[in-house]
Amino acid sequence: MNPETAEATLSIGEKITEAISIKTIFTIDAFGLHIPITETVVWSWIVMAMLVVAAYLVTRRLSDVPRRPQLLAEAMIEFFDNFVCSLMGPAGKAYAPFLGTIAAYLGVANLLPMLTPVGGFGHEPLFEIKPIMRDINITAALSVMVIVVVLVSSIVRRGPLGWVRSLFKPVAFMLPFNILEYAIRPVSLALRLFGNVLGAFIIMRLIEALMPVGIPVVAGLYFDLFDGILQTVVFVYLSTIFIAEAIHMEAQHE
Amino acid sequence: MLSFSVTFVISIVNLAVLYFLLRRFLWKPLRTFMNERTERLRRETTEAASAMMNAEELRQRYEDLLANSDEEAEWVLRDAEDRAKERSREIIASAEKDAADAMRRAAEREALEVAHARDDLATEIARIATAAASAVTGRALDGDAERRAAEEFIRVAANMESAHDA
Repeated sequence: MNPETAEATLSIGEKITEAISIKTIFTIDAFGLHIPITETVVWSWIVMAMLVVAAYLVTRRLSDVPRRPQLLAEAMIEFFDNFVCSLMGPAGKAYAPFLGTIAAYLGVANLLPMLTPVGGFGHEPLFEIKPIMRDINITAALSVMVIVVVLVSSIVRRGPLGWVRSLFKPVAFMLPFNILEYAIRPVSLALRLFGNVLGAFIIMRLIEALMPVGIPVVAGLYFDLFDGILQTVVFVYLSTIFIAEAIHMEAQHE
Repeated sequence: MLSFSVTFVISIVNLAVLYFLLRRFLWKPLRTFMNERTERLRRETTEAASAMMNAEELRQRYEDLLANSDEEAEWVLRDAEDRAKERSREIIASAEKDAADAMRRAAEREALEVAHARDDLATEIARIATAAASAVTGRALDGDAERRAAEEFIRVAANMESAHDA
């Protein structure tokens, strides 16, 4: 291998390794604890702040003849209510805010990196927004919350004893598999989201390193825009299905 | 990259906080507003339908009234026309009667005046005749014989005048 090519390849590899690493921005020392605050947490706070401020501004002055932001918010609420109720029935309406929160958070978090200014030609961009979901801790937190909701919904719906009995259905032999399901589902949810986002991020970094002009724009439409929306939809859809099964399908088995 | 850290716990807290904040600031106010608006629209639609039904009933009632009033107006007009004709007939009859009475009274007055005129004329002629006879005879007429003769003369003269008029 040509030494220059080897050096360039190493350089790209180093760049990608550096890009996917998660930096600690600052640490909080409280109650004897040393809590590192990573860049993904800071960006999560920024996303949360954006969503809460936007929600406050939209609902501050509601009008009978809605303006565009209110119209968008109403359409989103109605879409989630209809979507969740179509899968869960009328009881599903209570879950729409939870699933809507996940969708809004994931959507904004996945599309936010598109706001990174363009660099190149020896100039670094002014700032860089990296995908938040490349941090397994965040995707795991989302998945665990979903599975906790699934578990709690199932227990509330069937009662504790009913839930225990449901682990032995359709036959007692299924007990270990039913228990495993509560572990496998969050893992699959978390790893799917994490893997897709990280994969798309690495591919984009490779494309930007190898073909910095033109191609990243076209590739970004897929890997940043389409993939960001697609992963949001997949995560929310699967979460809805899991909750729907917990509150609806199990009741049917009875 | 794949190591779990305190970020996991922070993220769970973050998501829980975001869920409660969005439910408080987005879902709850928007749902309440949308439900109230839907309820208000449903109520207004019901009220509008009810008002439309009432309006339709009123319109039907007014149309019936209008139709009846046309008939009533026609009857009133016809009655007024009949009364007017009757009245005009009465007035004409009364006027004709008055005219006939007036004509009759005028004729009677005329006949009376003619009679008076005749009497006056006869008296005047008798006086002239007497005066003429006195002048012819050279003496005054007196006594019953002369007076009868004068009256006879006058009667003859009157008859002759009547014959001449006829």
